[in-house]
Amino acid sequence: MIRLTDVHKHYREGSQDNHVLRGVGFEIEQGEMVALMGTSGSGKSTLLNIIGALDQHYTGRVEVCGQDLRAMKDKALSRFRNRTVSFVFQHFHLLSHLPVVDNVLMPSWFDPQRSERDLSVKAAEVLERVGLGHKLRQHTNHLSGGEKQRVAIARAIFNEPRILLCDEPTGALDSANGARVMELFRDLNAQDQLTVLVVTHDPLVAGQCQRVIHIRDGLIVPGPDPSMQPDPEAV
Amino acid sequence: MSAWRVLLVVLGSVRRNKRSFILASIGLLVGVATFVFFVALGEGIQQGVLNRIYPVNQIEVEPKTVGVVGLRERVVDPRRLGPEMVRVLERLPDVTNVYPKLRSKLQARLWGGKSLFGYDARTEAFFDGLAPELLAEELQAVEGVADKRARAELRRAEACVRDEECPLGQECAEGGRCRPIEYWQRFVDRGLVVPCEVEGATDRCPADERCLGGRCQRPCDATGGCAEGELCVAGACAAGCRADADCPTAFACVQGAEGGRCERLTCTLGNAQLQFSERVADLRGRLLGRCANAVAPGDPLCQPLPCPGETYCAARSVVNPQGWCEPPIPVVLSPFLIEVFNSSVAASLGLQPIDGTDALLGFQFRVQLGESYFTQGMPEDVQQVKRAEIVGFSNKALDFGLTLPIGYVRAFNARYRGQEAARTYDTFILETAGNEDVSGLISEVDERGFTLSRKSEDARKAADLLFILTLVFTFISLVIMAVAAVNITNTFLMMVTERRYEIGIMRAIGASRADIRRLILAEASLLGLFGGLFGVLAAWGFSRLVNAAAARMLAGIPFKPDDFFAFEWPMLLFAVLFAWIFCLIGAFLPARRAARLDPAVVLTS
Repeated sequence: MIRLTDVHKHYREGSQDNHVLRGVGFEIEQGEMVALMGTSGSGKSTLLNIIGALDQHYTGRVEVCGQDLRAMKDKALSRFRNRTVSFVFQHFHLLSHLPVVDNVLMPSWFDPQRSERDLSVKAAEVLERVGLGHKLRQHTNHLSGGEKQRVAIARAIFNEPRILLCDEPTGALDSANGARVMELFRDLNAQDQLTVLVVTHDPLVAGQCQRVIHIRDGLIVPGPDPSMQPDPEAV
Repeated sequence: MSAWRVLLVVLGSVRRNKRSFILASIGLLVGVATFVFFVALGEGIQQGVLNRIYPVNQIEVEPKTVGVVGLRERVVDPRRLGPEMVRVLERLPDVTNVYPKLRSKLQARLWGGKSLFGYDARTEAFFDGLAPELLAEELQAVEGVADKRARAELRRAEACVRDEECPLGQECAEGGRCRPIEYWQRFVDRGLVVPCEVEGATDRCPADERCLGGRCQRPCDATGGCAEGELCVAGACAAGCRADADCPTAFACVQGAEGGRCERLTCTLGNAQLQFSERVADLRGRLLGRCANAVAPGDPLCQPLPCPGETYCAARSVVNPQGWCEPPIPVVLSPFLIEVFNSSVAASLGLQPIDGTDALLGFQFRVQLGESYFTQGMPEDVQQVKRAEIVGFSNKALDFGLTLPIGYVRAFNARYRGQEAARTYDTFILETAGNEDVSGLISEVDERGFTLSRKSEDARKAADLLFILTLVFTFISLVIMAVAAVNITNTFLMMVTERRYEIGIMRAIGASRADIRRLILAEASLLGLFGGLFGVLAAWGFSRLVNAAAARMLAGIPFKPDDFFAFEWPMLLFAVLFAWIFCLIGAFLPARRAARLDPAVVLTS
């Protein structure tokens, strides 16, 4: 499903060369729910952007659903982001001037094959599934953090992608809302066979995934970073 | 991304950023408004003012002159300026029509206006002859014939037999119904009798005519010489008829051995001095050989008949009371005369200024041919008094003088100065198919010894100046629009920076670079259309203000156009298109930058 082979990524900051990914390689099978865990700056978000075709400035090979991302042009990559993968961000990235339903409908704007007729019904269904069926017409800036993240998830699953890429999805939420969001991911993974890749530095979030891939200083490592200890209160 | 979706997204964006949208469009709006305003003004003045003098495809040429011992001498032999020169000019490339102009070669004076001013105005009379078809269109426009007809359509036409039965300003038309008088239709050769003295001579008659029975007539003989439908009677051609109704006014159908022929009604004033009378009844005279009652003409019981309808009794000379019934000579004046009258004459003589032309249409005055206030008159037995009627106003008319159908001037010149003066023209109006042919034509006629007449040259100079001014203002508007485009670039760059998250989100959920570019350019297009349309509206609104101000400030000047502007659809579309293109140019760089935004960087920063 997702196969990375010897992926390198350099940043240039002024005169300094920043080698963020140093030959990363791993595989994720279809229907898996995997946590990508590491400390801040370890390269986990970068890796997520590369898998989600947002970042093409790397070396190595990234194959997603049998497609080599480097070989794809902008139009194909856009379509890939529209139909195959979806993002859930830590800061939700919703458009505050649009009502909830329009935020959810956004992926359909860029999908010319979608018929406009049933879209609103489907958006309502998706919002119902994330527990926000009653807030269709509300503007997102009137929602709580947890609700915003659930709108973002509804938007992410609207086009029925095969892979959900989540970048610190609970990072801006309290533990109750975080737990609810993780429950939604587990549910999507279990019921829809959606492959879920969750980037996190939180061992509790990682603990809810079937598998954990640890990344440290741009390298995949077998075990967790010793500096990462679970929050005793959360435990 | 569908066009409909693009429109919805763009409209949403405009709603959120109304202020910057309006501010960005102001420069564009001003540019478009400037462009439209000045092009419409240039076009309006061209159409409404200059084309009235000479349309862009007409020029008036006259023979060049050279100074010879203090006098001006024509380069072209005046004897060559006859009908043969018309044919030469007609053969020039691009020339579609040639209208010769003939000036009067005799002294004349005129008087009249007592009903208007309270006393008779008197002045020397100069006149030009022009082909009626050259003026027809302009005369109709000035008279407002289309409005007249439209108004008449709304009213029920009254039944009538004679003109006198119709309301003021109307005449009894064919079909026995009153209808408004259309004076422009009178500017034709209405039939003039040219008296002559030497029987059989041709030198004092117009070309193709001869002195027969004391007046110039077209001669004929048994072999022919008359047109179809005409009869040859006593060596002269006459129109055939069955009854009086078949003949024009002032003619009667006279039966003879050859059949019926239309014969000019002869009349007498009784006393030659009655030609100078102020009473209309005196001028109509009485018909010779006709009585109103059924008695023989010589019978003392014979009740006299005056000249019929609009005609009057035109005596042979100022000392001979006998003559022929004739309609008044149709005269066209220059609107410039009214301007001079209103601005100077009225004030100095304590008269009321004249408002428009309507009051003067149909106004009659008298012309004494062969007599002058400035120079010695001709013998009294050749001097004639004629009535003339103002039938229209034209910018092509002589500024200080009368303009007559060319046939009249030809007849007068022949009568008073001989046939040579009647057949040689003074200037020629050349018409081409299009404006672009005129420059080449000017050099063509230059080689043949002609130059542009003063009026024509002034009109062309004014047109050139107007063209240059329009060009300058078009350039200024282009500069304004270019500045607006820079402003739009700046606004859109700021907008792209402000909306980088939105763009990043769109990219993350499937927008391609082309989609983002399309969104930005669509917003710019909307801005362009908005600025363009409102620019056109602003120009139109401002033009109405200028028209209103002009109407108030130039109230004393007749014949100014009601509208100084001509808004033409192609020009308006071009202006909006222009605004749109400038907007796209302005937004091109920001659109490219937006499309190249790295969503990974934007969404993680």
